[in-house]
Amino acid sequence: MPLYPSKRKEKEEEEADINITSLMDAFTIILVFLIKQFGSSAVEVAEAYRPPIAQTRLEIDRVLALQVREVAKDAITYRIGDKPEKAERRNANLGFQQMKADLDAEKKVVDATITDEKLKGEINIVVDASLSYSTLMGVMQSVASARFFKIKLITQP
Amino acid sequence: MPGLPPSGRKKRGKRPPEREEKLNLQVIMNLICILIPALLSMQIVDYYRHDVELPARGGGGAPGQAQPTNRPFNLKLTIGADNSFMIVNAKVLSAADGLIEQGPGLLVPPQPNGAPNLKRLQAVLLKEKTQRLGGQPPESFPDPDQITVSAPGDMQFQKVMAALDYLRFEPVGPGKDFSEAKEMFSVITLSPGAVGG
Repeated sequence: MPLYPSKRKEKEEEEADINITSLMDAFTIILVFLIKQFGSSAVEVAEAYRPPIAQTRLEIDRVLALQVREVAKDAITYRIGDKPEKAERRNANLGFQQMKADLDAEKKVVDATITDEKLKGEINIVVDASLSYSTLMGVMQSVASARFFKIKLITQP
Repeated sequence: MPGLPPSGRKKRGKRPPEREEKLNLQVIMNLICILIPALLSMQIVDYYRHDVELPARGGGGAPGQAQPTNRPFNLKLTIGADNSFMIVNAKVLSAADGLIEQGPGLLVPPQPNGAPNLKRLQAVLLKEKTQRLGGQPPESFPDPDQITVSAPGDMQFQKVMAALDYLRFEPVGPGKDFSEAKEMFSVITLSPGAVGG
């Protein structure tokens, strides 16, 4: 009985191993591409918020996002940036005062951090598709009162 | 001769070349094979935007800037609860075109199935936009690209948004989407109240 495997057997063993280096390369590239694409959205929309469907293809800027949905007539929940969700009922005369105060506070931070003059005063509003027009108007008025004048309504394709 | 004891190892001829230790890539491969389908199955949504404004009180432009010589068009559109569209302050549109009906303003009625006639609205507004200048440059008007929109308070935002698409962009050819469309009314003002003349 031979001490070492024959050359033929050795060759067979080598052939049995699949060379996965190129496969690994391809997978790594795909993985990096997918991770990059996954994190490329300029606005993070929380699961409960469902923007309206539209055909516009105007790209969005990476600015402060306000997410709003209506939970009852004249009652909303909202999120500013990645802050926790808050609820508010609309005041017939004053509108959404708590949201305005929160946006006022956020405006100071935003103005201090944004360097591009074009983006100053810009805000992305993710409004749930089911929101009523009157509530939308109330939200927009509060946003404008907080000196965010460049209003971008976010849509999905 | 005294010296080292003879080695107990047997001579086995030529020593075989050492084999390279292979990296165990199975763990990484398993991880990647799980991550790729997981990432692919995650819904990646691209979001887009519509720029809107609230009605401004007066204005007058920057000092030293050449002021438009003409009065503003003040074009207004009301979305009706019955999916009709009423256009107010149109300069060139008339019911005689057959495209619209005469009412308190000019009316684009809904389709027979009750759905809003967005394509007709787009065609009507394109005609108004292109013909109302009367040969003058757009700069001679204060609001050549502006339209004010209002809707009933209880109307869902989705319905308003559908109309905004057709106000903002000119019609596109078959098989094309709005990414290739020219902008028609780039300044859209959402008005909280009912619009009048």
